[in-house]
Amino acid sequence: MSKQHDSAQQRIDRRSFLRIMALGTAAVSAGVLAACGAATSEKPAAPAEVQKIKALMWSNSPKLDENFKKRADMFNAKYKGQYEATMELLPWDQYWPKVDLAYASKEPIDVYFWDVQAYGHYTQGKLKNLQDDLNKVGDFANPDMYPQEQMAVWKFDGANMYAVPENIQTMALFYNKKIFDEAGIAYPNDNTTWDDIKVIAQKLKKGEGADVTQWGFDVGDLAVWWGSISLAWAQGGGYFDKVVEPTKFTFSSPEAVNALHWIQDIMYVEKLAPDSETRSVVGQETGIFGSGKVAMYPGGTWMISSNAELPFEWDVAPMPKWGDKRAMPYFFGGWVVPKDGKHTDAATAWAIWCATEYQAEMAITGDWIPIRADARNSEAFLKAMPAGFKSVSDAIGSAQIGDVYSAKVQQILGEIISPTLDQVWNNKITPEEAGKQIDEKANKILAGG
Amino acid sequence: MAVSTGAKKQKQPGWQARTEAFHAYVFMSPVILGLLLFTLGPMIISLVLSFSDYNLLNEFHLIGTDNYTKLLSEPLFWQSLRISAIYSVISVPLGLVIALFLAVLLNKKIRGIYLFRSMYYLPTVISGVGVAMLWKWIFNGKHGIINIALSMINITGPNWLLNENWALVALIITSVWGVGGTMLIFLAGLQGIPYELMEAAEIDGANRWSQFRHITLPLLSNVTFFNLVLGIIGALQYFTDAFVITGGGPNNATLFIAVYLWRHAFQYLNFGYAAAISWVLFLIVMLLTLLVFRSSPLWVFYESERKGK
Amino acid sequence: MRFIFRSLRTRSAQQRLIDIVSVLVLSAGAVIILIPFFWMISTALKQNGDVFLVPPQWIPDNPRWENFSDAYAQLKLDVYAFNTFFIVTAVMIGTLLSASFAAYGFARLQAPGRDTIFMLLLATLMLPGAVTLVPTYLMFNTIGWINTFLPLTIPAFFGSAYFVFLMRQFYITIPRELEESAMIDGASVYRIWWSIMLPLSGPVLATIAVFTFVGTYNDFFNPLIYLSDESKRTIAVALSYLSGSPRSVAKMNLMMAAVTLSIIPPILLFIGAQRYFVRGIVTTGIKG
Repeated sequence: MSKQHDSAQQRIDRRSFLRIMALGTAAVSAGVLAACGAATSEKPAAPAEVQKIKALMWSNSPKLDENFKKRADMFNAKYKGQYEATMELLPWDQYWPKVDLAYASKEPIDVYFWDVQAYGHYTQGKLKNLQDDLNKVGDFANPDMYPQEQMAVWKFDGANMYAVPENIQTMALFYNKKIFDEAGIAYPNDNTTWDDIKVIAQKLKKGEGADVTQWGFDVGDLAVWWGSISLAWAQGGGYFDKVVEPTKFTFSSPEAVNALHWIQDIMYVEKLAPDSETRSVVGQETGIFGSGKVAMYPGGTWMISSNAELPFEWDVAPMPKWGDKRAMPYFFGGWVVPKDGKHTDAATAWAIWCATEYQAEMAITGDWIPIRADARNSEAFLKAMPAGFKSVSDAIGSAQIGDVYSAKVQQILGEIISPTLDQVWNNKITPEEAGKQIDEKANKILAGG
Repeated sequence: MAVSTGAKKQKQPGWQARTEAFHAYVFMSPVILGLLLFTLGPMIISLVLSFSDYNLLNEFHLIGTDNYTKLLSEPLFWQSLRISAIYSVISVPLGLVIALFLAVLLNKKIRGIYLFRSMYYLPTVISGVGVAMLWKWIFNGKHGIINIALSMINITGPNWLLNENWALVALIITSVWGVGGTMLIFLAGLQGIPYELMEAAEIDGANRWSQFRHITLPLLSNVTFFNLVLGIIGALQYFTDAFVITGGGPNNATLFIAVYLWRHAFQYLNFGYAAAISWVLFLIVMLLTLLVFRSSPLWVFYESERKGK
Repeated sequence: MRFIFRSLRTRSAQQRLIDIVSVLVLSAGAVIILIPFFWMISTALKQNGDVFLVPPQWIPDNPRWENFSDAYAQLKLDVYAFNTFFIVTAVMIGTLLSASFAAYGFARLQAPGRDTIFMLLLATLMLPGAVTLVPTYLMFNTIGWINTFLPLTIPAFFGSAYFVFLMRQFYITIPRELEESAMIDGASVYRIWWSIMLPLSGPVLATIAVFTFVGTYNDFFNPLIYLSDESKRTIAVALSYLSGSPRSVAKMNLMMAAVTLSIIPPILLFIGAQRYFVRGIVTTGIKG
């Protein structure tokens, strides 16, 4: 900005000009800073008014999205004149930024769908304690209706629920019936072990080296930490000492290393499953099963509704056993209510209605596995599910939560666990090395580094 | 700094300078208002927040320079900065040269030139998720078109997006594919070069290279300057493709500074820390931009200077 | 066309040889550029199951043309076309007017603080959008602009740094003699800007038009953040919903069909804008 011919007069002009600009900008900034710093005044709603709320969920597929909107219509019909919900669906990448921006603007989304990120909202004290509301729901404490033991994990403070589960997901072994029939081999069942898998996969593999035309197995969701942990659990181990606020990661424990070895070996030693390179053929790993060239893969039960459209017959079996023990993750889908929302009554009503009355309808849509046992075991639901689903559902009792809750866990997963596991799946490092690296770095972050 | 176009500046009577200044402010008024109303405020706020523990959810507390000291001792920050630097150092000059080369070719009066221009611009009209899917497929280690082409000349191509060393190269290639925007700006610049100058040079017997070297390049330098400055700014903030194609992987090999920043802002609830990253990045970009501006008298040729006053 | 033929005839044999080489180089480059598009259209025509075939088919055995109509219906492209058109048009008008107007001040007129303002303007480009997004969002929220088109369109009328800089670079190269003679004739600076500078800026205005169109048309992030109502979605937003979620698989064939459909408007605009990629009339009038 050096102009040698600037006169002193002009320089002063420029300075006063800049001062005016600075003042103007400061005024705008101060206003916004105040908005993101100070607490907003309550805007009490007139009691007679309809409480209008927004429910936020991420987009899954046109069909599932459509059913969420229908759900809002049903809710609005039931609570006509009292509550009115609008369903908004966002792509995954924008979902959490939008939730967080709403918090930042002191106008939180009234009720939104849970995923582990919401645990951060809990630790920051943003979520409403829903325990009192849930106590009023007749059979919510009935173990025959709601899986008490599994739900207990969501009592982050040990006593109160901060989220209402509405569906439960787990992992299953998906298999292509046509491939098994052609080879005359029995389908996997309740007693299949991970050792059996390798034997079966060997029999079903066609071709060698670069010319494999049919694979017996694909690692599927075992390539994600919550998938591979099943193998560690089944041996009595795991990846961390506890689910809520872990104090230590244990990826270098023998059980964890064994689990990672099993997965790495089936790709690179026994070569019974496509390696990472081959798996990424079209970028969408789970699409490999859709190609009809893979006999079986362990995957999330949420894929059941998408796989329904595949042009061949397939079914599901429970996750295989390690020796005589079976383990697998389960996940909840559900709703959380910000405590500073404008209409927490309506939002709570929505969350609870979804977990109770709506369950029968959820069973009919077949989109999600209802949390309520009567809906989950209803004829309507089982009819929409593949034949083997009942045994998968019954095995949920042996499942453990496939999450880990800590304010720092997103960073540990993103910066350490996922990148290091990537290297294992690409055969760049051994499971032993990976375990050591993860524990070292992750425990350092946990310790506040 | 060379933003002054000032050869015209003679001893004007005071009132005339004042009238001119008045008109200048009228012309600049949309920009001044825009700065005041929409952009400077958020920038200043983000600077304040970079000294705070703001996490988007709760009120912030000022914590001094904690974010900055933490940042400077964080290996992943330096790694991401290095990745962005490598990307910029390669993609910016490469993009400029290729764009200029294409623009010169596309500026010829030959049949079908409009069709060619459209084809070369085509990659920039497609964006977002679609283009990410496309690239994942193109760079596939076994069946991707790039490796199929390489195998024809007996080269076994790498497993691009899954390989720590090649994923960054793959992203640089995608950036070159999208060079159409820069090319278009060069093309617009070429339109401003009087055809007569070229013809005169041709008559003088200048060969094509010296024509390009002594007429085209200097007369295009103002546009090159623009593309260079904006290229540096854009490359150091490179985000979208890394976010959707590689997601920062494998093993953080494509963890660009902007991706690292995004994660802290919206995934790890460390907004204050993210703001600190962005202000460090701001300083770097600003420094480089000033450097380019300072160097511009050496190589940027403006019309008013041509008049030699 | 006739003009081109004539100029071809008068040019030397060497020139013609260079033209031929140029065409060859351009054609080779075009093939490389177009391969991804070929794959896109090929995928768009596949049956759902064929998308994941290994090795992939380049030309689908039994093309499924319905993918295009499915994508069109599923995306409700016709419904969202209006929103898209409205936002894109407003941004184009705003950007063209404000950038071409403001840049003249920066390029030609002297005023104290001018260069400081210019650097401030450039500085706005240097801070990553992720961090200014939050205060910007809060600001728009405070003034009640959330869930309206205003945050997406109004700022365009206040001169984006990128385009002001671009326009300025072009104005600077226009010979001053033109303005000086007009000034002697008594024309005001505004008249000079309007009737001398603008007509000479055809190519760069066309470039800005194309850039703003493509940029705004493809932007799904800002509409998703600032808008909530489904009735306010744009085409790019609708498209972004096709990518699936962590818990479901994207339908590649439908997605590619949708992408193929979605790039038609910008391509048409670009072809239309090419008309303006010609020299301004006056430049050719200047000799030395």
